[in-house]
Amino acid sequence: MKKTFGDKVIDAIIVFIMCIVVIIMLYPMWNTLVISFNDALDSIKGGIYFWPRKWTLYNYQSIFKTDKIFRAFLISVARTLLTTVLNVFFSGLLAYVLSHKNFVFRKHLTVFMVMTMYINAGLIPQYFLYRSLGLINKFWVYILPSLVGAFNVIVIRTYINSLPASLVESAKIDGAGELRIYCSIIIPMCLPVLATVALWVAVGAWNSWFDSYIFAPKQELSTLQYEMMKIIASSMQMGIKQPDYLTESQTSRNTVTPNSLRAAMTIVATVPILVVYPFLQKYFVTINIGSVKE
Amino acid sequence: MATSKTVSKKEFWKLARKQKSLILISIPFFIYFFIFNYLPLWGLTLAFQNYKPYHKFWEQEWVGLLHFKNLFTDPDFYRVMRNTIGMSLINLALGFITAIIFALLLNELTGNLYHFKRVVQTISYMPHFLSWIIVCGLVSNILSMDDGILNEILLRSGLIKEKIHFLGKPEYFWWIVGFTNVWKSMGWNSIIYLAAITSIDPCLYEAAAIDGYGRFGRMWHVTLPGIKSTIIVLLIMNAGWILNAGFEMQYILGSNGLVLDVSETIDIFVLKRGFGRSGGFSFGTAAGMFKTVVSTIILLLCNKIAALLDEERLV
Amino acid sequence: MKKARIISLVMAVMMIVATSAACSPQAKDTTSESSTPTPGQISETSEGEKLKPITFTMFVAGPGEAPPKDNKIIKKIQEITGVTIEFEFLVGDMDQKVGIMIASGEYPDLIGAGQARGRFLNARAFVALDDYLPNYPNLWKHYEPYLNRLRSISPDNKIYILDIWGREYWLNDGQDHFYYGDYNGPAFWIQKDVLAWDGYSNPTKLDDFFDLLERYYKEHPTIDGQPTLPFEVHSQDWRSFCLKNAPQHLIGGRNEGDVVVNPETLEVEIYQNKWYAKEYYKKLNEAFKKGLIHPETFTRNYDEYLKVISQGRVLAMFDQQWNFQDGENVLIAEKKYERTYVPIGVSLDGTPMPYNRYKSDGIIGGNGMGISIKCKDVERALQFMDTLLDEEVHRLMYWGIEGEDYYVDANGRYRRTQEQRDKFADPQWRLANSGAVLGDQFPKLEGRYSNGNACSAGNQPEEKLEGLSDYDREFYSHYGFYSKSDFLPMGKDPGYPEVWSIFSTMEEDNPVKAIFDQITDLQNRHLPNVIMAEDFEAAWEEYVKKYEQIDYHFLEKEIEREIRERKVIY
Repeated sequence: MKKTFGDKVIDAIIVFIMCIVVIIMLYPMWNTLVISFNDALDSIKGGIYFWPRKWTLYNYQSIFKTDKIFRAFLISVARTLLTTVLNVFFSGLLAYVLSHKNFVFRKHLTVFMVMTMYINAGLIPQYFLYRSLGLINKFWVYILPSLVGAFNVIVIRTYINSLPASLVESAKIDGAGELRIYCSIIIPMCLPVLATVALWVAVGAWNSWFDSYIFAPKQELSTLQYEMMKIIASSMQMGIKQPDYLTESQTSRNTVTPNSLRAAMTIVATVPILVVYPFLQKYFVTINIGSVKE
Repeated sequence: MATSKTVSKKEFWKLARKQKSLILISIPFFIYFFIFNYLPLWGLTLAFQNYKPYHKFWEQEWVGLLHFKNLFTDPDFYRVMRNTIGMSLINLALGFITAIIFALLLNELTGNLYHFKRVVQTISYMPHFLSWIIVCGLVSNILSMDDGILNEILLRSGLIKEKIHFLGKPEYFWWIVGFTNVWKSMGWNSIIYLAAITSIDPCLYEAAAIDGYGRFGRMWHVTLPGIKSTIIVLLIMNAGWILNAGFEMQYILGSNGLVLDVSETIDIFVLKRGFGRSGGFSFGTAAGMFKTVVSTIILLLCNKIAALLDEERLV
Repeated sequence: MKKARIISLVMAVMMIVATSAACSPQAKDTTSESSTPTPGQISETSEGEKLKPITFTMFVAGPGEAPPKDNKIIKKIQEITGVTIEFEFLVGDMDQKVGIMIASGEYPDLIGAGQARGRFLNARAFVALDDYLPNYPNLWKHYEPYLNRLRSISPDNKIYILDIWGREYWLNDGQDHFYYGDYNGPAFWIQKDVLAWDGYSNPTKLDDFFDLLERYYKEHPTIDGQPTLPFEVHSQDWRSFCLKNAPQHLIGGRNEGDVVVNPETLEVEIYQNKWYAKEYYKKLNEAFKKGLIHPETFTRNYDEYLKVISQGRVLAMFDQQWNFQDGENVLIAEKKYERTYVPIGVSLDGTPMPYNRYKSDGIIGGNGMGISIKCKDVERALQFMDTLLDEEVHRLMYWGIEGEDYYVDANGRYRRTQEQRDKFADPQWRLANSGAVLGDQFPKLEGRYSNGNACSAGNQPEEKLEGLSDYDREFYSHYGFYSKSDFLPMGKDPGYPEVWSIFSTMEEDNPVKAIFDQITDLQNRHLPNVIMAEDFEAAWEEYVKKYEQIDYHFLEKEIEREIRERKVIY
């Protein structure tokens, strides 16, 4: 379709709105970046907006001071990749099963699944469960509890349902097994929504620290986020009970504050996951329904 | 339920035989949900005890409905419920509308604006990655009387004569939470709509164009109906979370005497009442049970309404 | 008068130097004679069994950071003892973490009980140490005078938790008070420049204090181009002690928490609804109406509070120094010494009050670490702790390696070069190179070593004096003082632990806790509005009426009972 003059005016208006949105959305991240490169004590004074006032790498140094962080990074990557792949695959599979309107257990399974979004048994029973499954302090405690997500299933199912029904039907007539239909037809057709779900799962897995803390506190299994939570928690305490450092000395000290650490940590934790999306984005194209039909 | 009743036993088995592979695939899922989500439900018995972690199960003191009584008879309970539902509704309404509009507008960026679209999209979900404590810091910066940009703008443009103490006025608090939520999650939430839009058959747009619909007409008559089922399903699911109005933001920005009356949500209430006290775990569990029951009722209600309107349903 | 005090100060410092010079050779003698083996000796004598490497896991119920494995001091201590400690510090919510630990019974070898002490004790998570202690000379010497206090906190009167702070060693040579740390507790903290402007006054009367703020504010409406904030009342979350705790001190109370205790009769009263609290909040209300308190003070979060302090435009506040220290550090870094703070012992009638400046009366009981019932080798763990209390090892932890981290001057005094001080001021360097990160979690020596030097660099008088800026030295000299601590008179220890610490060992189902929560909530909710009220009397009336609906007398009685019990032990 060729764009008319009216279209161009509308485009211009939308672009204008989007530019404002971009500024509002980008600025806080930019500000966080700036603060992460600014001297921590200086940052307390405020007034840092677009550019660091006192450059330093010290905030990052205090995060990367040990090799623990690199190991934790690898653990984070591993758990994120594995969780994402498995969760997307199984959520999609279940969504496909539930998309069969006449499936005899559709209702039961759906209710059974949906309720998991709202019930919460509490931490202690959960701990006991994982312990009896032998998951405590094991890598698998990151993976197994999040193999399927009810929310994701619903979202994928809705997407499948909004696809032309004839596609799935035609595949069935060919006598293909359900698993094969899922792998060879549904997955390619659902790429946009699977990419969305993948993003959700990946971000969730990447950002979580609480499960490390409670279920896998072992140092070897520590994740990036958990390591950084540790650094922040300890920085809150600095100087409170250590009389050694409370003197009115004139030493200009190199120091960190929870705020600056948090800024640096946000950047370190966000950048890897931020670069994921542009890769997923390429699946966000309208599927060419015609070609699937053949 | 309706379908299984209408289907006779014989037909059921006939269908079931045909769906052997589907059933086979379902079984592991049943088992999985049972183990990971339902098995720990024995923990709900905590709500009826004065649970002490270091006692064995049979050594616990059973208190019946005491914790529920404490919950419902607390004069503060109704206040925090009001706050929770109030903020939740604002979040729900603002969140949905803005994310959908944003997705629709983004979708309009086609042709040579495609790359611009990708950039906007990538940037729009950045706030999602900022922790609440950073976000709250920014919010109070912006709203500050001292050097806050909003007060500056309002003052210079002559809209106000005196600086407003935004964070100290109860009447603003819910809206501050609402708009901050919008800002933080609009881009992120719009991703799902953009994905849904991809399932729309391009022929429909062409047909609409032939029918003489303009840009907004097509948006209204093609795109929006195309993602309607997604919207409704998400609405139903979110309605179930009506008692989750958030926690951190209210806690960080609202824990001062000036706005405490409107800022406390049920989660904060439970934390305060349960924290470190005898039966703290139990009280929390009781509150969790209450939330689950409310969620389920609302969920079923919304689902019913959707069914009556003949829309996409959750269950 | 002032001059006389300066002279006495100078003399005192000279005396320190003189006495330490005199006793340093002697001190050397005692160490070589003493039976406690030096690190070298340990490694020589204890081959085989004793040095077999062992790793203890330790959970600390408070935030902190585990030192890296290659921390040079910790490595050395590992060589001496054969013990490696693997730390896990609290990160999130304490109740969750401790609850799960207790519920599952999966304890690490050692537990730094922190604020969770009551929980661990009730769960019987610790090994009773009564029979073990006498076998370890250093530990026994450390705790023997305080066995009753250690026992007092457990229901069955046994020793489970070893206090890690508060056991101080003094030489009683008349110099001990120089070795106390700088006061960093609660007080009305005021900028030095305000006092200097007023001719180095010391306004200990509440009215005078606010009058001074008002006068200074009139002449200095802005500081460095930004509006002056004469008085800040921080109240976010648990930090609302800045809002609530002042009245107890105004009538001479110690930092007990939410109650005032009569030292003679031991009667306990809640003070937030009493006449002296009313006086105080009335004063704040007046100050608010005069514009001395900015309304935004109540909505400022902690970061913003630090921000305004770091900008040097807050004239005064009621707070504890460690709470605003980060803000003050900015001022120090920018050499704006005149904007840093000193504590004033403000009272209603003008008598200078000690606030929380009390000579420490030893350990309080319950403030430390214990050995869990799951510990793989209790004796080895105690042996390790015993070794840490050895002066040589302790010096290694808190001073470092001689020649590398500190030096010994001609008089036998431990000193640091500026370069060394700078290193120790860097938290990153400290984590990798100081043993304090280990020592802080275990019983330790405080006060002075047998050779007269301070047990940590921060308390060594020469080090403190040398660290003072010229401004500060000059400022203090006008008063005849030698540090900010001198602004507060030294109080007489009333002989029972601070009430908040009694509170934290209470069993969790004590109904006092629920009442306490109600009171806290009421105060947080109403006091800011009372301060900002148009009609103070009416607002106060309403607040007090709400207070009467709470059964706070029960709390008073319970706490009084607890104090009486402790008093017997003390």
